[in-house]
Amino acid sequence: MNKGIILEIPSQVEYLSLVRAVVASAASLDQTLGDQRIENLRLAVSEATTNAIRAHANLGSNERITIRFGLEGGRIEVEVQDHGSGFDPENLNPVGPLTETGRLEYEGGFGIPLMKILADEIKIESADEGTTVQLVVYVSPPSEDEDISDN
Amino acid sequence: MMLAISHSNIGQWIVLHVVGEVDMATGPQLRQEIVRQVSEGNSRIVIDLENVDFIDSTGLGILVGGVKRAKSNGGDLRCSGLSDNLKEVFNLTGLDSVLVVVDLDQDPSTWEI
Repeated sequence: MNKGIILEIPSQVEYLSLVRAVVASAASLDQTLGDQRIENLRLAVSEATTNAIRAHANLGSNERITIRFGLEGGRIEVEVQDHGSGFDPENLNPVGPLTETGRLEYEGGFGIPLMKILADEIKIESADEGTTVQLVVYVSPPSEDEDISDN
Repeated sequence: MMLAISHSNIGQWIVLHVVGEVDMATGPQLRQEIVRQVSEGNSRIVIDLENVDFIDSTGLGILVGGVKRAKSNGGDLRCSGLSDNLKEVFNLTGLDSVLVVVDLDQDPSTWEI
């Protein structure tokens, strides 16, 4: 995937709206992508960037966060890379899925489940030196017959 | 960027009219306002989201927390003015089963607790 735009931001929440604006503008370059698909991507990338900023804050890190955006071959791919301490992607949601009874007793933990719903593909690579979240949205949504993996 | 939050009263309810994008940067401002209202005895709260075109998981969590806080003080927290995009987010997260959406043009006596 050719990464068309690379954005590096300070690890500060004030930059979230800028990231959303850039991603939405870049995605709208493909005029076949519907408004709702752009909104889905905007929210998913914002969630990933929020998690990256939070990961840096937990470490007291001032390193910058990198967002790479590519639009090619009928798919939009966005990577959000941080230099936090990483986490285990297999053990993300101790409070259960969004649909579970009583889940909404908890205020947190909406972010990654939302990303999984909003993106057509999501891949999370995390290690001690940081995390990269890759989000893919198809310009044309996949048919129901296609097998879409979230790994 | 800050949220703009103004107030009005409809019956026994206080309406918080929110303008802006609710995310990790601005959400604490909304949380603080909800906490302040409940602590001042205003536990019947409507969050007017007509001029909010973006809300993230931080904002959703704040609304969930607001519902819990208002209910534990004998009131409730409702939302109004959801755009199609926000309706979609509420639906995807299951929040639409917890957060009651009201119409500000309706008689508030119909907003039973």
